[in-house]
Amino acid sequence: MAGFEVITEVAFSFVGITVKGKLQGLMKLENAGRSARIASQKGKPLTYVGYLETAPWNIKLLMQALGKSPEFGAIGTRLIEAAVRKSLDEGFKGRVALHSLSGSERFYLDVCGMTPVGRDAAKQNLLWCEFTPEQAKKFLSEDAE
Amino acid sequence: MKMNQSSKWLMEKAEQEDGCLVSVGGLVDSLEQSEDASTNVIPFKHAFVRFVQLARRDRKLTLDQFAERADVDLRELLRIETDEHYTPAIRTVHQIAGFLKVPEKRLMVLAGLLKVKDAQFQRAALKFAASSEPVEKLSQEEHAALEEYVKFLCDR
Repeated sequence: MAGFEVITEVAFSFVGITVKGKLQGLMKLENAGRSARIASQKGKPLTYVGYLETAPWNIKLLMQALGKSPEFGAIGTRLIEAAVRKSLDEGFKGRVALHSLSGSERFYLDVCGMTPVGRDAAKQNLLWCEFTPEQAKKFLSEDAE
Repeated sequence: MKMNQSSKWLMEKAEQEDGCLVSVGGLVDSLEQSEDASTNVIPFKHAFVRFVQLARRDRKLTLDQFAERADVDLRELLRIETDEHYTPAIRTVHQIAGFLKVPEKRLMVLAGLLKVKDAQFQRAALKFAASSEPVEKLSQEEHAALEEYVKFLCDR
């Protein structure tokens, strides 16, 4: 059985995806003290993804190097969906932000459709990516291209 | 939390995500910034990688055999030996320390899981990392494996 497990403590929460009791991906969300940087939303509260990672056996590049196939796909998609839904639950209208590692930018920009707001000098020049409410809605929509 | 139940949506997203990395770095960066700047993790990590490699080879064990005997995940062992930026799980280091019969805490330091301010320890790690770089001629097996892989790469 696949499932989501959310452990909430005041201003942050962890979301994990489990299949048959095995953790497939994990994410840390911060729900206080973060605000939007994108011009149209500047200063508005959002959900910040502090950590997101899939289990090694779900990373295609890694598994291919071992001559195997990944066990599960769409782990990142499901976790980002959970982040958006958490943002909606908190009243942040789907606003979500994160610092993408350089190798992951394609996923956040091209697959999720987040906005690349800028490099963050305080975070090793990692790219600050952000969902506006409209982008978050589009991400969740079945009709999105 | 109610998630999207549409298989069409999920399949499309899965297809788009296929092959992508998804790592997020905010928390990791925060943790790194909180580390004591006086510690020198990279030489430690390099020493850890070389230590595991040499200890395994000294026992004439393949990665498979080492992983089985130490009771660690083969994939993680592979990452340990090939990626010095990788920080292994605490349990893995515990298992390796037990298998190799070395002090667990010191191995944790080498693996980047614990920090110490010990100049002598740092110097020894750096010296080991530097002096353990292989310069010897490849064994017949290594040479054959290399040749075979080169052939595979050329044939692709």
